[in-house]
Formats: sequence, C-alpha cells, structure tokens
Amino acid sequence: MGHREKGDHGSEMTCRQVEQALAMSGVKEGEVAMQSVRGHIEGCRSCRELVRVVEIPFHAAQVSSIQIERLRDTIVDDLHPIRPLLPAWVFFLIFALIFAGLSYVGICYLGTIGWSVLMPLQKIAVFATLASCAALLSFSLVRQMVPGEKSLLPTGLPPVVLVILCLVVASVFQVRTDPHFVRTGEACLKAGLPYAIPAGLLFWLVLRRGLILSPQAVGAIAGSLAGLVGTTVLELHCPDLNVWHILIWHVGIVLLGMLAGLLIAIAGQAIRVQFGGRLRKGKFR
Amino acid sequence: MVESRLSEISLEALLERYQQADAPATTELIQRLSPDLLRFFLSQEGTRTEAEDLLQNTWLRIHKARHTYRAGAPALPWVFAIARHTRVDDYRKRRRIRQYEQATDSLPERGSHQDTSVETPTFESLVAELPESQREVLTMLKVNGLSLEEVALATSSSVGAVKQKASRAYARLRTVLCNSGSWAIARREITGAR
Repeated sequence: MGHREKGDHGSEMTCRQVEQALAMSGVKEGEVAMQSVRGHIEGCRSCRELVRVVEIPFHAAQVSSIQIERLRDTIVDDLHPIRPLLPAWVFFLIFALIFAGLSYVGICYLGTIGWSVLMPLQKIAVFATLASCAALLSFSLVRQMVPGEKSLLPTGLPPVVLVILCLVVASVFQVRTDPHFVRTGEACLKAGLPYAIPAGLLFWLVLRRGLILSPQAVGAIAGSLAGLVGTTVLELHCPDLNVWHILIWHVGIVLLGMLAGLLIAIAGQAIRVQFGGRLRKGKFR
Repeated sequence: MVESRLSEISLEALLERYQQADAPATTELIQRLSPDLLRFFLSQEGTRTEAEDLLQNTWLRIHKARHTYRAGAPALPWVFAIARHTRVDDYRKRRRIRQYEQATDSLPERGSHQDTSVETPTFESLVAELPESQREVLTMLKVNGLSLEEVALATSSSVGAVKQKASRAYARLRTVLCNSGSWAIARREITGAR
C-alpha cells in the first residue's frame, strides 16, 4: 500500500500519522502546523490529494433570504424575555433535597429499626455508598439538562451504581436462613416503592425545566435515583440482615426504577415520534 | 451602524440578548448560524429540502429551549447538540414513515444515488461514504469549523473519541479516494514520474 509508506523527501512520518495529525487540527487552527507533517504532505502525493479534497470548501450552503425571513418572522413574533436556567448547583441541591426529604418522610412513617440493628461498619459502608451513588446520579442528571454540557460521567452510570451497591452489600452482610423469604421481601417491596415512585415523579418535574436530548439515558438515571430513595428508606427501616433479602428486595428497587425509567423514556419517545409532528404543527410554544 | 456593531458581537453575547428578547440580535443570530446549520444538515442528509426542513425544526427547538443556554458557555456546542438531536429525531420519524411505505428494514445508504464515476470526487460525495458518526464529526470539524473540544461537547463524547473518529474518517476517505478515478490518475502520475 503506497499510502502507508514514508514521505518521498526522507520524512520519517507515515501517512497514518498524517491522518492522526489532521484529525487533531480543526479549521480554526489553520493549516497543519507541524513542520514534519507539512514536509510529508509536500512529498507525498496521496496525502496531498487527501488534504486537497478535504479542504475544498463545502458549497451549496447558502440559506435563501426567503427562508431567513421566514425563520426571523416566526421567531421574532414569538420573542419574549425568558429567565435562563438556574445554575447547576441549584438543581443538584433540589435533587438532594427531594432525596433527603422523601427518605425522612419514609423513616417518620416506618421507623428506624433497621438502623438500630446495623453494626457501625455496616452503617458506614451502606449509607456512604448510598449517598455517593445518589450524588453521582444527581450530578449526572444535572449535566443532562443542558445541551452541549461537558459530561464527566458516562451515561451508562446506572448499571455501574447497581454493581457497586451489590458488591458493598455482598461484602458487609452475610447469608442467613429465612423461611419467609418471599413474604418478607414482598412486604419490603411494598414499603419501598411508595417512596420511589413519588421521587421519580418529582425528579421528572425538575428535569422538565431543562432540555433532555437523551431521554433513555436520563430515564434510566432518574429511575435509578428514585429507586435509591426506596432502598435508603428500607435500609433504615428493615431489620432483616440476610444478604439475599437486601440484594433482591432492597437493591432490587434500584433495578426496577432503572428499568421503569428506561421503558417510560422509550415509550415517551415512541409517542413523540408517532404524534410529535402532528401535535407541534402550527404551534410554537 | 447598529447592524455593523451586531456583526462584531460574539455568538455567546447574541444568545444572551436573544434570551432577553432583543429582536435585532435574534435576527443577527439567525443570519449567522443558519448557513452553518444548513451546511451541517446538507452533509448529513440526502436533499436540500430535507436539510431546510431540519434547519426549520432546529430553530423551533432552539427557540423553545433558549432558556437552557447558560451565560458564558460556548455557543456552538449548545447549538450543534440541539441540531444533532433534531436530525436524529427526524431520521427516526422518516425511517418509521418509510417502513410503512416501503416495508423495508433498512434505508439505502446516503449517497448511493450519487454519481461515483466522476474523476474528482467532491467532499460531499466522499463524506457520504463514511459511517454516520465519522461523517458527523468530520463535518463539524471541517465544514462548520468547530474545535475538537466543541465537537466533543456537542456530541457528548470525549476529545479522545472525537480524535479517533476523525482519524478513522481520514483513513476511510483515503480508501475511498484510492478507489476513485482521481486517485488512479494520481497513482499513474507517481508511477510515470518514477
């Protein structure tokens, strides 16, 4: 392959390295700055051809004055001052308040027997993990509310959170015999879900203030965070220390929340794709 | 006088004034951003009509979501993130419609209808041969003039991932060029010179 060879003028750079160098230089940086790259391009016909084709200005992109006028009329007619979105830290605080508030309501109604039976190490491990996971998910949600915002956390965060929770629970709790595994589990599920569901609704109300461009990711993250509220309430309330009970019936709420959030987002998007155009037609607000 | 002053204002400042319902600033913003957006859509979509529809839809979405722009944040990643998702949503809608109309599972590759027999391929015809993610990154970098960091923000990915996609796009473009007539001529010239 000729284009993988070194440049003709004794340049040590390969065509592959030129591709990488081109990838690193946007238009704003101007032409390729590095001397060795330029030397290679001058000596290598294939690279010269590649650069020539790529730097041909893209034509046929003039917007007609009629279209500009139409856009301007539509938008300017609808102009009114708006209040910009609140700073990110305010939304983070709102998510934290919802989380803490619903957990508090939960322990007020259900009590804190679970807290009293936990060993100090278990308390630290479980609640530090729950708080960290909630903070990570909240941070990720806040970032998803604004288009083009730098995302420091992967959108696949919920499964990671779930695995971390499972590992922590598996490492600090032990297997115990439980003759009423399903019955006690169902009771826990029924106790935890009434806190997870309103949490999910409240998170959704807050998220609506922003522009959600990845509904599935946001649905899964918000659902997981709502599920964490249920898990936190159960950890404070339930005195069952059987590791399988906690993994399936307590941490399982996070999984349920994640799946519910994801499914709701998929359904919402499908409805939008199906009916969005018809609903939006003729409406601007 | 006012117009000349507006043309000197940054996109970020124009967006802030757009939020405050400043009509001249909004007009300037539309005039400045629309060609860039149209270029982006033209390089991604099949026809000019589709690209113009997307431009319209993107402005609708920008208008509805203008409160989400945060003062001081770079404007282009915010605009192109919205444009990108408008295009994705539109693609889904059209795919659904075509599924009903054609009862096919996949759409024909963009650019397959274009004449590939020309000796000097255009940038558009070359870019059409790239996978969607690489095409998008290369268009933003080369056509719209976004920096690597801005493309990373607009596509919700890292700078490293953008670099990798761009590098792969160049490698693929070289292969496409290699198979095109113009490349064959260039190769003949090299062989002849030697």
